[in-house]
Amino acid sequence: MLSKKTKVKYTEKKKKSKYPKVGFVVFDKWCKRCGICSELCIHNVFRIDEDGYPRPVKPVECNLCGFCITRCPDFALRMIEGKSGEHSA
Amino acid sequence: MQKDIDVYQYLRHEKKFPLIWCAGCGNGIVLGSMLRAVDSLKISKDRVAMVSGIGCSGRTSTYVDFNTLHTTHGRALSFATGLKFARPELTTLVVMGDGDGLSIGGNHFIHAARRNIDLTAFIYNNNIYGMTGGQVSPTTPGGKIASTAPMGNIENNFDTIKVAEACGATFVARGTTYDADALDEIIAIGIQHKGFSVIEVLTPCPTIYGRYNRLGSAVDMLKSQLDDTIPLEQAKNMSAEELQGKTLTGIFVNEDKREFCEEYEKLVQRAQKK
Ligand SMILES: Cc1ncc(C[n+]2csc(CCOP(=O)(O)OP(=O)(O)O)c2C)c(N)n1
Ligand code: SF4
Ligand code: SF4
Ligand code: SF4
Repeated sequence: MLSKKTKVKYTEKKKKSKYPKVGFVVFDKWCKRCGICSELCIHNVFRIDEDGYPRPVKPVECNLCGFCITRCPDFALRMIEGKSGEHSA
Repeated sequence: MQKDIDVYQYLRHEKKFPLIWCAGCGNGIVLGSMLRAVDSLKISKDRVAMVSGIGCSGRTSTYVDFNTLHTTHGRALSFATGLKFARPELTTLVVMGDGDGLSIGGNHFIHAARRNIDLTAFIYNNNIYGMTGGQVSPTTPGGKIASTAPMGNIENNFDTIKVAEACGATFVARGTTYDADALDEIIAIGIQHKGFSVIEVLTPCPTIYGRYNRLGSAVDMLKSQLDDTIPLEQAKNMSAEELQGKTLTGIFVNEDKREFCEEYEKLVQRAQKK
């Protein structure tokens, strides 16, 4: 699939969540920084970094609604499931 | 429908990505819905064909790992009719813009619907000619600004749903990119329908239509779809005043009528018996 370089991986380990833990992969090479994912997430899982890319800073708040992934127009966002902190893309 | 499917198995992501579309363009959201619908129906990608016309919307076929034909402006349905006739076993998706499908391709649209040929036709309605810089299209609402209507459009616009219904399409639906979840379902039902299925998708063009009409960012345009549209079921309990200025979404027509390829097959069998 994608080369390792295009992947930027984020996870959060500290907080407890009632939902299964998830992490997100943002493919920066495909992301056009439209802001749809971060603006539409009602749980504010994403923060926009200084370059305009979304960074999932609070994945522990994610309720798995899938809204961000299905509305990303560029297939640049992926949710990965896994044990706490053990995410692999 | 499962949301985080491996959409990448249906995409030519190694060769053709990133997508050519502008930041926040809704076309990619429509594509995602199509892929989830195909995946939910468990149709092998080798049994799916996508035929598209010319325009930003027409680029969709470039990105999918189906059997694809990127044809000429307005003629996607003509190519698709020939393909379906020769290979009726293929699930055939036809992608057109509002200009592509309803102005230059309007004649083909009318007759494909009249024949009720088993195709799933998508009209990506962004209310404008996106690729060529923003000319008025048949779906540009009255008063809206376009490059060919700098002081506001003086024409009346088509309602794709009514046109499709009047021409004889047997499945007619409208969805939005904001409600991609509903769109997934509509597309899955449309693909399964035997006959000519028309799915109009309201999809924002922030770069051209949005800028001309000062509709804000891509995010604003996407969010405004929620306010501007009402699902059919909900509309049933609303007054005419409440529905003023709103666009209805959902499945408008879903009926059975004789289908072109099946009738042709019967004709061939009759002729062979003689
Ligand atoms: C026969 C022909 N006439 C005109 C054109 C120029 N042309 C290319 S795309 C397009 C319209 C695009 O608008 P639409 O079909 O709404 O698609 P969008 O780009 O908005 O997705 C036109 C007029 C062409 N390519 N071929
Ligand atoms: S899946 Fe839903 S809750 Fe989780 S990050 Fe995406 S939009 Fe937010
Ligand atoms: S929605 Fe997709 S393209 Fe837009 S900012 Fe988020 S990841 Fe990037
Ligand atoms: S011009 Fe409009 S329709 Fe074309 S890619 Fe850009 S935003 Fe999308």
